[in-house]
Amino acid sequence: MTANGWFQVFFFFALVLICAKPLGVYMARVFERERTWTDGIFRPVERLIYRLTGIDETHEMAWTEYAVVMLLFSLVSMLATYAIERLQHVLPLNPQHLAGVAPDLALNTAASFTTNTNWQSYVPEATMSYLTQMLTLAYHNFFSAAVGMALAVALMRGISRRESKTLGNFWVDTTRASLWVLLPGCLVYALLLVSQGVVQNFRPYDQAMLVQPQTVTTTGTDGKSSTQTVTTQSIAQGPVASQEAIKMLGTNGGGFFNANSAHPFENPTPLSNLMQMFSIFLIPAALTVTLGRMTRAPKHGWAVFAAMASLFFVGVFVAYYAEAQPNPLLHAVNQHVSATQTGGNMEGKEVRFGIANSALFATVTTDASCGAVNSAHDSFMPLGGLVPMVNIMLGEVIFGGVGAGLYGMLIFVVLAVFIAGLMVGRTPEYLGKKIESYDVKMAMLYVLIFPLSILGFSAVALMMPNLGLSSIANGGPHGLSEILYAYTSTTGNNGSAFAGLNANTHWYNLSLAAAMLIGRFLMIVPMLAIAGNLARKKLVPPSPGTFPVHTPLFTVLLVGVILIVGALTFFPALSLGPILEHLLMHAGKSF
Amino acid sequence: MESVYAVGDETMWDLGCAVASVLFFMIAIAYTIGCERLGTKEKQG
Repeated sequence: MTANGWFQVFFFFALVLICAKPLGVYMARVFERERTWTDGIFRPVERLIYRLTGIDETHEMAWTEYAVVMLLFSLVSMLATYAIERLQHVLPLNPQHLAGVAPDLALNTAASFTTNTNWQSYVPEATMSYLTQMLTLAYHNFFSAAVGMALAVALMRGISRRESKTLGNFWVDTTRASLWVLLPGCLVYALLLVSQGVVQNFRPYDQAMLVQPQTVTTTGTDGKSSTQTVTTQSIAQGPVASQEAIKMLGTNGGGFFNANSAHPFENPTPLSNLMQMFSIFLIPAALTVTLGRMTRAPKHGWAVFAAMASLFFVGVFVAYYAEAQPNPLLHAVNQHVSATQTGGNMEGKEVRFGIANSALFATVTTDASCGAVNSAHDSFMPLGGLVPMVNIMLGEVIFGGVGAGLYGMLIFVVLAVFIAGLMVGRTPEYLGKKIESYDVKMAMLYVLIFPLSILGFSAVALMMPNLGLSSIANGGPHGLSEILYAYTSTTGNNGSAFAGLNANTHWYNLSLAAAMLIGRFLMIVPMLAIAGNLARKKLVPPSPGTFPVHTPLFTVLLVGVILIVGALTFFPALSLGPILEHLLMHAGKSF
Repeated sequence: MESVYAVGDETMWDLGCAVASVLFFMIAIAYTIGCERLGTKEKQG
């Protein structure tokens, strides 16, 4: 590890910290329907949208209506995405004449983008037309993020309202999240990316002559080998900057190119790399300030922020430390930091980003449920690869996805407050609301669905040699990590891949699609049930026995609850994967 | 990439994918109603 590397980590986090408050206050004003300086531009557009769609913006929804409307909205947009993917060969904006997407892959991709996961079992530049990328995938990048924000706001209203049966209006919250926050943010951000060299065009792919022709031998499905000489290379183009902006700001993560943020057209410079990491954390961090404002407990918002920040720094320290260590199996190679050597493990990393920015990016993208990558997580050292996996396994609550991170964290807050109440033998209270058995049952449902999907699907895949095991590139604990990571990433709606796993098979496309849908929608429903139940309750005045939720003690308890729930659930699986691989590596064995 | 689906197969796959998607969301709506009923039951209890 170097001082320069740590300076970059702290500089990045300082930027997030500085911007969280103004954006958080702005979002609180947007969702509370108070005046903002952008109303003059967006309010007429908003009114027009409601007039055209027949939405009554004054209508308030109970939690069940909010949930059902959100589910139906997601179903319709998922089916439309599937149809466009399947029909892209007869639709415009397909200069490469790409074929329609195969049905199982189309389903996987539709589920993936609807759930804000952006898992990609395909090579985007060789599979998706410009129309598919812009009309369906970018659409979901906006609206899955906006839905996440709307849901977090609904939970905040549940906490702050008293004796109310409603949580707001799903359509209004989603529209305001898109118009007031995501659209203007993306417009400015896309231009900044273009200034760094991110491409934005509709041109067919360029063909470049290779300086040195390559001889390639391939084996066909019939088992016969054929050799050909390759003299040209396709250089993919497209409307990348506009996609990239919402990909990061909406914590979506699906790359325009297969190499994602390691591709020089998606992430060309160290500055664009910093902007990308900053934009992943920006809205989730700011939402903690919004929480403080909307619940009239600003210190509580900062206590939640502190819990997230503590877990982030632990993750980035372990990942950076693990990647900065020399690989013990490469005895003869000089791996120490010098003027010509970055030191540590550079396999799978871009030289222009180096170890610090690769470890930081991997931590940020898996803390938030983004899933964009600028290095190959599969090539990390075992403990370095453990960090992204653990980050997702903790429930994507370390800042987390746009909206999803905060509502996930608030479920842990409910559990932490409940445990604190049990310790002192009082009915637990959270910001003046009594936490009762129904709230805890719903919180436990939320917490249990997550490992059930990850461990259940992983176990089935591991038991089926022809379906699950045939797709892994490595044996032993590393192979287990590849499968475990895939189901963790999809259930956690992260979308990053460990690589080394051929996920474009019927089994993986269908089972990963199911994991994404379960991890998104079956967890949202109990969360909204808690919101609806909290909104109905009376406010209880604080007493000497009330557990304060703005102190360092609360932050420590919250971090403890998250770590204990995560460790108890996933430690056995992790010990057979990356932890065993780490121990075997030091015994001289690699996979 | 060579397609592993025959034309008739593809129609069946499309139908299957659409039905599976609708089914999942119907289950999610039923699950929502179930969670609401549990809340009502607890209040009455």
